[in-house]
Amino acid sequence: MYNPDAIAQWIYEKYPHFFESVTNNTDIEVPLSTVMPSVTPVCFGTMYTGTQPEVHGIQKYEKPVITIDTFFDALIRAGKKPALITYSRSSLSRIYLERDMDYYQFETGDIEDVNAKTMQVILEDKHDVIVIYNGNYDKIMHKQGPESPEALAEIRLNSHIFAVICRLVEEHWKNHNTLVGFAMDHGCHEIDDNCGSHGLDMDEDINIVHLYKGFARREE
Amino acid sequence: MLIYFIRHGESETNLNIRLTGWYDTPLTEKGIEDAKKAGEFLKNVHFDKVFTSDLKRAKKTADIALPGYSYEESKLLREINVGSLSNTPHSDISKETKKITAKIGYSDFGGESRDDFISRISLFMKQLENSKYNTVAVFCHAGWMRAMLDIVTGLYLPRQSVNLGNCAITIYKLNGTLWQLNGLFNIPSI
Repeated sequence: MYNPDAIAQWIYEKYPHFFESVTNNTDIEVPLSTVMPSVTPVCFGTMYTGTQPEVHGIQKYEKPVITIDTFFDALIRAGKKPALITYSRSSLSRIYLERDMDYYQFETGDIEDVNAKTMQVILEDKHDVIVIYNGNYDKIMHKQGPESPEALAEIRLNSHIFAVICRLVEEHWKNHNTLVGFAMDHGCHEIDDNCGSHGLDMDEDINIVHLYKGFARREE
Repeated sequence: MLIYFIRHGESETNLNIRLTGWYDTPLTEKGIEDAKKAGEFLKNVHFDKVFTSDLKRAKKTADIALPGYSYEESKLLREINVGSLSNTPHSDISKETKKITAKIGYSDFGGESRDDFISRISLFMKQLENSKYNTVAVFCHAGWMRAMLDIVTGLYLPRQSVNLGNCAITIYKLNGTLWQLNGLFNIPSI
């Protein structure tokens, strides 16, 4: 599961060419609305528990460890091995700690270490579920705006990384039935001075699109 | 055939955050340690051929990581030629220049275009495709390894998208002319 941060549905619809590497590699497009407030820990809290914020407990921008049953707990009970690949200050790296799963966390806020580790982990094929976080678009979007050339370049980069993930899964996970997802946490909107933000109950922030592709098992 | 591509250890220009290209910079003390770690990772692999870029940071890494092996030097394995930007601090390179070089390479600065660089890499790949080795080690450079990843995946992965740190190792399986990425390791993992 590839989780880029803050890529809105309106960006996806307005700049489809930046998503070509994603749409060429996926079959299923699911429009969704996020929970409120539309900020990262609240939304990822819901994405991997399937519950409303008042149930998982994160209702504002904070990063406590979620204590209710999560997607990861269910996997572990089923004997599966999940891995979470993030950088250490990100929300996703904090809120699902304390589980019997593999955490790969990197100190820098750059995505290059996360993505190199992702490739390594896919190639090693020792995990059943891999969740990856890339916050590069969010970082630039806040500073330079959702539609700045710099922010859009980050989306192209995310798309290419996702395509590489799909390629590696297709080549190396032939003996598994695999679902690959491009799934953002929330959207974003433009604010004054060409900056970007999110967290409000408005279409730009809460409307997102998740994209998926299933790869059927091909080897005994 | 299995081919291990190994980036050189930390060089003086890496340490000083300078663009390197064909500038023949030596390894730092940390670079020597990097090479020893790569050697640890590779110690149980038997190579029937070892290639290295003819630049000294790659040759020294090969010397340390695979002692006792003789190697063949190849200019095809050099880093991209960055022309007049050789040994320039990254901080002195303008945003505009970075945009140009990311897109087309360094031909505007007396160096290699990205297309020429890709052609050079393809020549080396072709050389391996026509050979009969079982397991090969290739000591080279980050830009080279990243561009090869682009060739094999058919996608352009900019510098900042995937880290290939000093002594990073990528492993490819070659069957005829079909290249498949089989492994990617950075130093903290090895």
